[in-house]
Amino acid sequence: MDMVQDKRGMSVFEYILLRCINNINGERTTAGIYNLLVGKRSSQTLQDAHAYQLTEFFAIYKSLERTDLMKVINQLIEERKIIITDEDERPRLTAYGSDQLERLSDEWGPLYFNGIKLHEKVTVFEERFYLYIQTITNMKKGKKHFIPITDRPDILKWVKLSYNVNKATLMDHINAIYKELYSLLISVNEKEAALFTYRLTGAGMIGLSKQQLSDMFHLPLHNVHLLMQHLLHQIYQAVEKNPGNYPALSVFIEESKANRLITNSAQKTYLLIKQGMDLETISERRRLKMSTIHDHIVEMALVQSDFPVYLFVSEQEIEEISQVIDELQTNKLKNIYDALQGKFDYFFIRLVQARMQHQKSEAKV
Amino acid sequence: MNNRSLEQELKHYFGFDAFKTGQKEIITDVMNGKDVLGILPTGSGKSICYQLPAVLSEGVTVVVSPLVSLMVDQVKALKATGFKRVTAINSFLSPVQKKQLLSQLAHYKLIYVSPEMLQNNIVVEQLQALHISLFVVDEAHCISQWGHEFRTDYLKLAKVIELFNQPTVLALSGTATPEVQEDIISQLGMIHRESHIYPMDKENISFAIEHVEHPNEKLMKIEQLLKDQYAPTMIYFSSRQWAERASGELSKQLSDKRVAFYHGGMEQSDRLLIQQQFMNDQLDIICCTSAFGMGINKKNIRYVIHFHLPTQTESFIQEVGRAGRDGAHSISVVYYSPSDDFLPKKLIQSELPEAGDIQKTLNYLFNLYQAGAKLPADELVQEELELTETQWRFIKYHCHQHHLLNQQAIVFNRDKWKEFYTFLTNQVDNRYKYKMAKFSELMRWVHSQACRRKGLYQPFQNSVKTPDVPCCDYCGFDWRNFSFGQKETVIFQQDWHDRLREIFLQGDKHE
Repeated sequence: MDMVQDKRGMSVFEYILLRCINNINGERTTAGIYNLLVGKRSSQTLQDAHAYQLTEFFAIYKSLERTDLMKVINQLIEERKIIITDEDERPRLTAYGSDQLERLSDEWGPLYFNGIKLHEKVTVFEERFYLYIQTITNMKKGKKHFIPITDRPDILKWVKLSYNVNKATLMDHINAIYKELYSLLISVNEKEAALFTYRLTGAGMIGLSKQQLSDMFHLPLHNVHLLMQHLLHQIYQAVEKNPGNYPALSVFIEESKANRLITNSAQKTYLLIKQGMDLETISERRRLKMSTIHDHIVEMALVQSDFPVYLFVSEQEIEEISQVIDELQTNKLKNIYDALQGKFDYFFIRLVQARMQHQKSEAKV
Repeated sequence: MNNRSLEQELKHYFGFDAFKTGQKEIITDVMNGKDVLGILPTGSGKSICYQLPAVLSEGVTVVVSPLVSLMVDQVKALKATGFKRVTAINSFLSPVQKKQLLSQLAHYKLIYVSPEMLQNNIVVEQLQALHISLFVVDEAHCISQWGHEFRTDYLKLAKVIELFNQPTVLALSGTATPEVQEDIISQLGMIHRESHIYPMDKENISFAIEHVEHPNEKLMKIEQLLKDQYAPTMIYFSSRQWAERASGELSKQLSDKRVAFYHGGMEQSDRLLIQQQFMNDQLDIICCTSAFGMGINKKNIRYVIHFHLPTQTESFIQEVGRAGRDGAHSISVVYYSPSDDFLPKKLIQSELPEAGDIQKTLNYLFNLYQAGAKLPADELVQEELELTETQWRFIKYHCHQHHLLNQQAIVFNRDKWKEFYTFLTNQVDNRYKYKMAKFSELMRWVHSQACRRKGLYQPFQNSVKTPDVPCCDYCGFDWRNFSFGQKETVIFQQDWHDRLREIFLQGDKHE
C-alpha cells in the first residue's frame, strides 16, 4: 500500500473535525460537533448542519462517545491545530490548523458522505448486505444452521424473503453480487476496500470487529469506522444513481416509493422541517394556515413508513394514543378524541394513526 | 402420539445420540406431570430438560429466565436447529413489537419470559389464555436470598403459577446449596415433587491456584502458560479496562495466537462477531468480563483462567463450568494477588444502597406523595437518586413488601415509614455481611492448603467423584509443565482480493 493511502487512513477523523471547526468558525461548542456526528434529533442540530454546510457529516458516527471525541479534540489542541478559550469553550482553527486543513483537503479530494440524506438508508443497506452474504454463502455450502450476525427483526425478515426469491439460482446470484461489488471496490480507496472485505462474514469465516480491523490495518479505531462509513456512502450512491449497472446490489437499497406520492406543497413543508424550522415559522413563511401544515405532515407520515413522527409526538404519547385506538377498533377521529378526553388534538391522533397503518402493513408481509 | 422412544425423539429433534446424566430422569417425570426440582451442573444440558418436553407435549411451555441475553441466545440457537415455534418476551422488545408478539402467542410452543414481564398484567392475561402445560423456573436459585443472584421478582412466581391453573412445575439450577434447594421448594410450593440432584463436580477439570505479588505478574504468567501450546482459552476479568489491556498485551507477546476482548460496553454488532469467531475457532484466547459466555456453547474450551475472581463460589463454579463441555481434559487456573480483595468489595457495595441513599429515596417518595404524583419509570428514579439498578430494585422491592408502595401509588404513614427506615438499614447491613461472608468463603478456598476440588464443592455436596484427569495443584498436578500440545494455526494476512473471492466462493468453480 502506498504512502498517500496510508496518510488518508490516518487522518480521516482529523480532517472531518477540522472541517467542522472551520465551518462553524467559533460559533458553537464541541457539543455542537458531537451532536452533528452522532445525528442528534434536535432542530438546533439540523439547523446547524445546514447553516454551516455540514449536512454531509450528519449522523455518520452514531456510536461515538462524548469522552472519546474530547480526547481527539484535546489532541488537536496539544498539536496546536485548534484553540479553545476558557470563557466560551468554542474551538477555532489556528493558522497552523488552517494549513493542515488545506493540506488534508488536497490530499483527500472530494468526500462522499451524505449523512443527512443517507444515514438511515446506509445502515439498512449495510445490515441487509452483511446478513444476506452470510446467508447465501452458508446456504450454498449446505450449512443451514448458522447464527445470524444481526438481531434486527426487520433485517432478518427482509433477508429471508430475498433469499427465498433467489434460492433456485443461488450460485448465479452469488456470482452476480460478487462481480458488481468487485467492480466497485477496485475503483475506490484500497484501504477502504480491504476494511469492507474483512468485515464481511461468509460461510465459516466470521467478519472482524472494528477493534480487530484497527489492529490489523494499524489504523486508529475512529478511522476504521469512518472509512467504512465513507465506503458505504460511496457504494450506496453509485448503486442508487445507476441501478441499471448494479441490478444485484440495487435490491439492498430500501424500497421507497414514498417521495413520488407526496404533493409538491407537502414536499416543500417537509424540506423546511428537515432544515430544523419549527411549524409556526413554516406557516408564516409559506403563508399557509397551520391546519394546512398539519395536513402536509400527516400526508407524509401516511406515505413514508420512516417518517420521523417522533419530531412531533413522544414515544409515550404514541403509546397512549395507539392503545386507545386499538381498544376502540375504530378510525373515527371524534371517538378517539373523546376517549382521550381531549388530551391530544386531532393532529397528534392522525399522526399516530398514520404510523400504526405502516406497522399493520409491515406485520402482514 | 407416536411410538418413538425418548432417545429417538432426542435424535430426531436435537440431533443428539444419547441423554446426558439426569436429563432422561427429569424429562420422564415432567412428561408424567410431576413437579421436579433439578440440580444439574452447568454445561450438562439443562435446557434439553424442558425443550424436549416443549416439543413433545400438547400445551405450551413457559420458561422464566433472568438473563435476557441468555434468552435471546437460546431462542436463536433453537431456531438454528429448525425449531421455529419459540419466542421470548423481554424488555428488549419495543412497545409495538411487544404488542404484536402478544397478539400472536398462540402460535408458539415454547415461550421464554423475563421475571419482570410476569409482573405485567397484560402479559399474564395473554399467557393465561393459553393452555400452559409446563412452567419452568430456570436459574431457580434466584428465588432464594441465600442464592447467589437473589432476584426479588422471583418471589412472585408462586402467584403466577397459580394464575396459570397449576401447570407442571420444573425448577432448574446449576448451583444450589442444600439450604437454597429448600428455599426453592417452599417458595414455589412444590410439596409433591421429585428431586433430581446431581453433583456439580466434573471429572474432566483440573484445578490450580497461583499466588502472585502484583497484577502485572499475572500477565507474564499467562504468557508463559499459553505460549507453547494450542488451547482455546477464556480469561475472566472484573473490569472492561483490564480485559482490553490484557488483550492488547497478550496479542503482542503471543504473536502466533489470535486474541480478542469482549465486554458489555462494545457495540452490539462487534459483540456478535467476536462471539461467533470464538465459537468458530477463529480466536484462541478471549479476554472477557462476566458479560461473556452466557449463551455460549463452545465445546472445546481447554483453559478457564481467572485473572480476577467473582464475588462468590457459585459464580466461580458456573464460569469454570464453561470448560471442557466436550468431556476432554480442561484446566481451571486462578491467579491471585493481594490487591484483588478490593474489587469484589467495591462491587458488593455498589449492589447495596447506603443509609444515605435510603433516606434520600424516602424524601423523594415523600415529595412525590405530597405532589399527588405516582412513581415514575425505574430509569428515571435511578437517575434522579443516582442509584444503580440493583440498589433501586432492592429498595423498591422492600417498599412494596411494606406497603409504602401500592403498584405505582405512594402510601404514606409517618410511623410506618420511620420503622421502615430502621428495618431497611438493618436489612442492608445483613445483606452486606452475608455477601462478604460469601466472598470470604471463596477467599478461604483460595488460601486453603488442601485439595482444591474437595474444598470448592464442599459447601454443595458431601463428596466428589474421582477425577479422570490430574486433580489439582495441591494433589500434585504439575500444571505449569503441562501442555495440550501444539497445533499449527496459520495466521496470514490475505490480500483483500483473495479474501473476497473466498467469501463469495469464487474459487469453487475451478475445483
